[in-house]
Amino acid sequence: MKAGNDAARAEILRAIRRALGRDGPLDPGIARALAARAAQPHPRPHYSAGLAQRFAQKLRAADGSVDFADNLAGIAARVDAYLARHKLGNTVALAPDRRLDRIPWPAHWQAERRNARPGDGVGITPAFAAVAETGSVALSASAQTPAALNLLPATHIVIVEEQQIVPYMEDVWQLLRAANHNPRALFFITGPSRTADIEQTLQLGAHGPTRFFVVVRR
Amino acid sequence: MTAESKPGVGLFVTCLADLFRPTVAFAAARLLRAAGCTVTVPPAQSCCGQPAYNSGDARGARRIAKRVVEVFSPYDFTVAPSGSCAAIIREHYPALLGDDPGLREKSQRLARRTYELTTFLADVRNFTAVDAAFNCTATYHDSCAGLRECGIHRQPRRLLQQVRGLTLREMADSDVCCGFGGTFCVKYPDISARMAGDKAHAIAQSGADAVLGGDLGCLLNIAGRIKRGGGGARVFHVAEVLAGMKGAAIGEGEGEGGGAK
Amino acid sequence: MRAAAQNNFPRRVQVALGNETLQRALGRARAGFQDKRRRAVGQVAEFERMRRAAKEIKNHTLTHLDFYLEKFADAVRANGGQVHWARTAGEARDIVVGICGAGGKKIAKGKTMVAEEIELNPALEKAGHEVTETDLGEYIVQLAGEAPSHIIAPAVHKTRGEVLELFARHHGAKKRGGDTAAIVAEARQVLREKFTGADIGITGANFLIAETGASVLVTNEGNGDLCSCLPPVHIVTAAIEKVLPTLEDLALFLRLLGRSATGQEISNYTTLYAGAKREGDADGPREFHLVLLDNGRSAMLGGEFRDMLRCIRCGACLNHCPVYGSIGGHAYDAVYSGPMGAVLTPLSAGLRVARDLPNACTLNGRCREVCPVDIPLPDLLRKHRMREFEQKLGGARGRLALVLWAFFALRPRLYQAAAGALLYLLKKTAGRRGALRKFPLAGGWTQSRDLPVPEGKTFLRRWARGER
Ligand code: SF4
Repeated sequence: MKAGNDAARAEILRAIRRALGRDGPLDPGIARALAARAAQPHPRPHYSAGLAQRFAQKLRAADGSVDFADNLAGIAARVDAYLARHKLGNTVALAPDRRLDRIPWPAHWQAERRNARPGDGVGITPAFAAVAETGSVALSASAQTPAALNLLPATHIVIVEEQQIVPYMEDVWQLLRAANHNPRALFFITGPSRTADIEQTLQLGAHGPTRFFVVVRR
Repeated sequence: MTAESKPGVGLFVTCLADLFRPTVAFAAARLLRAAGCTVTVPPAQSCCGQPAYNSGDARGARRIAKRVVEVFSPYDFTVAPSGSCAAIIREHYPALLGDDPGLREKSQRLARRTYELTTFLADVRNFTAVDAAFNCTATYHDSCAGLRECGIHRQPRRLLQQVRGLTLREMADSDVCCGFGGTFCVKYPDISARMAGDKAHAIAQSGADAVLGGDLGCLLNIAGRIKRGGGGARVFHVAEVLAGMKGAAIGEGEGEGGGAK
Repeated sequence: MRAAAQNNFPRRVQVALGNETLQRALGRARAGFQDKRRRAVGQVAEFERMRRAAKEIKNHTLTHLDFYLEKFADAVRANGGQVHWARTAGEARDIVVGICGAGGKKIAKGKTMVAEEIELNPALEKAGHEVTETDLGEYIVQLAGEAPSHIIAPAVHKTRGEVLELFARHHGAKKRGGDTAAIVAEARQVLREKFTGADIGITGANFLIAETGASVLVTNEGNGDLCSCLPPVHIVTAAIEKVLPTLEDLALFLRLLGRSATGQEISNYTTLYAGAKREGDADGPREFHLVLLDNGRSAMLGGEFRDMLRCIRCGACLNHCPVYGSIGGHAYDAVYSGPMGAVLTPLSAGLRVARDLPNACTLNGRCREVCPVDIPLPDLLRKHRMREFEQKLGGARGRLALVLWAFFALRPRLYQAAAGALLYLLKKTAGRRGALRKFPLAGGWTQSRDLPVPEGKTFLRRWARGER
């Protein structure tokens, strides 16, 4: 298996080099230059709105809901109100993350710090960052932030600090590089799951969450 | 060229105008003269080589292209009442003849000086002296090669605005292919018919009583489809309308005449 | 084998054109996709600049493809993943079947065109595994026993009624509402169990990032992420041209992909996967495998079809192609349909079997206009035609006509004489009529449209006589 794989690798690379008119790997000088190829700023959509405002507007356009809170208690109140408004009960799976632990969640909830289970109604996770350009939240997978919590619950709620909202996806790359961090999975989620596979008719809640709600703490 | 001297235009008639509708070429010549040009029609011309080129006969296309380059090189400009023929000369001859050292520069020079009629009139000559009348609501079909390879869109419309009595009304999908495609229309008649049908439908929906365009291939196709039961719009080449030379519409017999007068 | 059936293109076209349900579905899809893209692109002043940059990045990456692939593969290994190189479709199939091991596994699959290309499902089923497609469109075509008819909307040819029937047949005869919401809810329920019970998840990748070793997965349903995160084994199948150098490059391509494919600024779920579950992680697959497929691509790199390797499989060329819009994807009888398929299929199946595809096109250029990486699709189709002509693969009659045409075109006098004769004949047949319903040898034309009658003499003759 291993030997076969090495042979295949060598042959594919050789075929590529032949096609490119080279008979070996790149000249080391060029390879070094390519490796250092700066993270180039490419042309991208310009916008002038404020970050929080743009974020909320774009996420709402993608059928997500957004609310703002002034403090930790406010976050709990906003989420509680959302659950009540949509009659989602009060059983909640919380990511086992200390950013969520600091929030004074309502006493009448049955909140469990754990990963998602099939059949979960509500999952709450903290964001890694948020992108104003597209209204996306960036969520990384880790010990404290299980990936399945982003996917299995029928309602996915994300808590974002306003300073976490950056203008563009490229700014998330800078955050990762600054922290020398390459998470196993990095999600950009923009609204609830959807499909238009039946006659081009948009339907929310295909496989992932049917509702997507973000609370931003100012 | 001094300010007074008139630019000399070699009229590239196009084989479809030559065979099917000489009026289009007469109209083109009249418009070019009105725009202050001397018009010559080199008699040694025939086809731009498009059928060969688009059917994969590169050798045949190259031979024809060579001939066209020789025949049209003497003129200040080459003008064709067809976006697709102009596109072949402008966009494809240089590549087709690029390997021929004797013709590379000549073909590039010809490419730079070749225009489709309405772009030449509107963009090069700033022609604003259209003297024609046509009481109708017209819709314009954007032929593909003209639109995408020569950038023809606003020029014919700007010229048509000067025609007395003519109102332009855009159809839906005016930029979608009518299904002509040269040899495509006979090689794949079923698909071609569907596309022509969609076009005829869009024309009928627009409520226009005349369809205008800049490429005879498309217009013959559209007219043929409309005649077979695709509405009542009459079909003309834009040059005929601009030159005030429209007689019977394309596909219309003597004394047939439709709604628009 | 699908390729063998390629010869029946004209028949498949007729069937497609005569299928009213299909025609309704296509009409709706066409309008929807085009409107959405137009709106999304219209909102970004920078779109053309973005498009040019994307083309440059792809060209840059392709000219250093070996370098970026090695860099990517090293990064995947550093992330705890395994990289498998596959020269051919068969090799890729064997690798995946090998990873899956003893039969009887439950496999949840996200949409992957590469898996379609290597015909993975039959091989997995033969090895005794149960494979479930989880993208709703793919699931529908799997139930129907069909192939996808569109690279991003696999079931675009199916109407709601047809889906309802399929569900009734496969999910049992319970009472079901007929609306889209009910269909989606039913699929959600059925497929949930497939995700949670799967032993192995297989997905594709939209992009591979050399800088970090990430495989990027873009979906709207979130099904690909469920396949990637829940099962203990995650296999990604991707082709070698998917690699991009940096994350910055990725950001640009995501902006183009969403807008070009579905008119979205970004797809709902865009996820970067970098290897297997790590020490302490709450979840994630125990094993992460990446299968890198060549299957003819390195050969394309050195030839006249290199531009095609820029393709990001957005589907815009299909959505804007009037031929695809008339006949749908199945008429192409190949994994890839529409303009990009008409370029790719002759390269994989051979020009002889797929010779109709490059010809069934008016070269109208709309595909290139909307292609986010500016692939000159009409030029590439024309190149196929040239190879075909050289190899004498087309019909003898068409070839003769071309040769005759070129012969006359180069001899203006003869041409005028022949034209005169032809015009005389046409005119005589027509009498006072302006158009003919029939004319010998013009059957292709007159079967569905009239033939406008020429005015009479040729222009050149009249001009030579002094007429102005
Ligand atoms: S050829 Fe261009 S438009 Fe077509 S799928 Fe590929 S990237 Fe998209």
